[in-house]
Amino acid sequence: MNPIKKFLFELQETSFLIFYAFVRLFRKPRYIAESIRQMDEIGVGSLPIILLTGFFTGAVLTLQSFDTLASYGGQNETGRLVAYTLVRELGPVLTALMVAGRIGSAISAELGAMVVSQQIDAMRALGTDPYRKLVAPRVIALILMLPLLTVAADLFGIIGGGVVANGLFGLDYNVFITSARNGIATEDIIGGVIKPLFFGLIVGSVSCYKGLSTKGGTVGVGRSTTSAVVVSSIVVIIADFFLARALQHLLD
Amino acid sequence: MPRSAKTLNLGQLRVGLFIFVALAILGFFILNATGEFNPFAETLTLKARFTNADGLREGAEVQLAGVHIGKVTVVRLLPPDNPEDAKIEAIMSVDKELDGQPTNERIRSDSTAQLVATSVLGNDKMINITPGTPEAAPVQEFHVLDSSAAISINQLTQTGNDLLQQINKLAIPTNEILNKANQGEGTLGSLINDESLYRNLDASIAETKTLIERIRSGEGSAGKFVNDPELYNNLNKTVASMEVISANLKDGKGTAGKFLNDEAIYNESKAMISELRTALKDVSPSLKRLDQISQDLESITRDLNEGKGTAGKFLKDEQLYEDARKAINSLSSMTSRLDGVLGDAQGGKGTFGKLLTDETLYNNLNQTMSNVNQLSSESTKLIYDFRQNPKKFLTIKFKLF
Repeated sequence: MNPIKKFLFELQETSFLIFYAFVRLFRKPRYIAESIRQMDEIGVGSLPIILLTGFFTGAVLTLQSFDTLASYGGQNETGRLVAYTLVRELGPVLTALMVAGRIGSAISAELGAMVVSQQIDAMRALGTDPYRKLVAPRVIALILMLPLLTVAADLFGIIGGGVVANGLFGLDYNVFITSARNGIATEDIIGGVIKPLFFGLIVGSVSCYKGLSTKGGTVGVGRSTTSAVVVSSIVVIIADFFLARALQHLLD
Repeated sequence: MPRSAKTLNLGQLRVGLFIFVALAILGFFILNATGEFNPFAETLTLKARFTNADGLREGAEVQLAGVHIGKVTVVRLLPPDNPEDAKIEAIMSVDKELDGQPTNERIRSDSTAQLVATSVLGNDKMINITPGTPEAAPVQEFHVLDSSAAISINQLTQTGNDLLQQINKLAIPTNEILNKANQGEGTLGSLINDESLYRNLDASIAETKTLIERIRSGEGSAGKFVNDPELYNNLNKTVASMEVISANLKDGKGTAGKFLNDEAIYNESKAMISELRTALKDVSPSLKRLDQISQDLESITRDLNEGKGTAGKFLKDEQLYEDARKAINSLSSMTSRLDGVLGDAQGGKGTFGKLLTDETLYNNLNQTMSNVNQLSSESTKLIYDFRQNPKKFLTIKFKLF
């Protein structure tokens, strides 16, 4: 099977998966408790790594850009740079990548193991729709949780930037916060929250598809887990470019 | 549930194909949102030559009157044997159509390309093309635009450098002058260093001060003028009187007031003028008659001039003049003779002279006249007596023998 055909086939199957998952939301039974459990797992469970990622991203941004800004006499604008970069770009993308790594792999492995151990077939035989029971709660939870995680990452990123600017470069917190507030506008925040909605959809659908299409026993589970993380990360980054372009045009 | 991907033909992949195409079109539209990414737009290639690229790079913006229309595709050095001053050539790719109109309607053969700095900082350049005039022909593909120099930061710095050098040159003589002045040489030096001017000024100011104090204390005319309220009071009174007069005038009191306010004079004057007008109308027949008279006079004068009639002859006939001259001559000779006679008479010569000068005749005549006077009085008495007593005289004694 040539790669083009494989690509088109996977695209088609993923689209069907998203389609079924959403269309079947409008009919009972809905697995709300399962959705909330997934939100807890995806959202709250990911919070620590997201906060750490955000904090140190902000810190390293300050560390790297402060000297360059200072050479133009613009060190007081460090907060602006950190906030703008985090809110518009790094916050959503890094959160999505971290979630893809942590949750995408988990979903893919879980569903793959269920496929391999024929639990999906058993579920279907018992009359339970695996799209509704397994795919929809995970995708919904990802779409809802990613923006929240992104906001947390942004906040901690700015805090991390401020701590480094104050601790290492002696910049006053007030200066940092004022310039950060000047740097970001409402459009930036809205754009920074719209992006994770799409990223959540991408990570959820790609991971679910990879998990459900697992073949070849336990080896296949490992393969589909790897492929879920890789594909969802790449698609997130590609989608980020087009989303950034579209949002620039729509919001600015 | 995903099916097996082993035995698939394209017909079973149509949803995938459709979604792929849809995503591709979406991506294209997102990129093309501001119209900057349009691989299907037709372009027009133009060239411009410059002496110095000055930081112009491939991909730099090309503007027409400040509006983005394309980009620089190639910046290359011209061959060393190129006869022109220009050393580099920039090839630009600009949109063939702008807002529905061909670009070369706007870029004409008299448009010029300028190298313009994109920002104050940095040395990046872009090309700005000036719009052409309608007289010039539209540009064609590969047209080489004239380049005109726009001042760059580098040139500005160069100019500033030259200026600084000039100022430096100027600073040396200025310094010398100031040094001399500091040492008290020359007028300026004296002005700065000599205290006499200051002292004189100081003294003048002191005098002025005393003068002002004297004025303030009321000394002299100026002091009085400033301090004495009398002038002011008088002026005030005058003004008050003036006010009263004007009030009277306003109220129509007195002759002037009446003159200003009473309408009678005006009415009378008006009547008078109308009367005068009627009188003038009466006069006009007399004037006509006068005119007649003057015409007659004119004709008379004409006649006189032509020598008609007695008076005309009198004026024109020379015979009369001759006669008159002769008469005057005779008169003149007679007068001279008379003069001689009179002179003789005055001198007492001749009878007439004796008559005039000799008093004897007068005395005798006087005597005679007094005698006659006496005689007449006597005769008056006699006549009186005769009237009273005619008998005394009219006693006619007839004595016959």
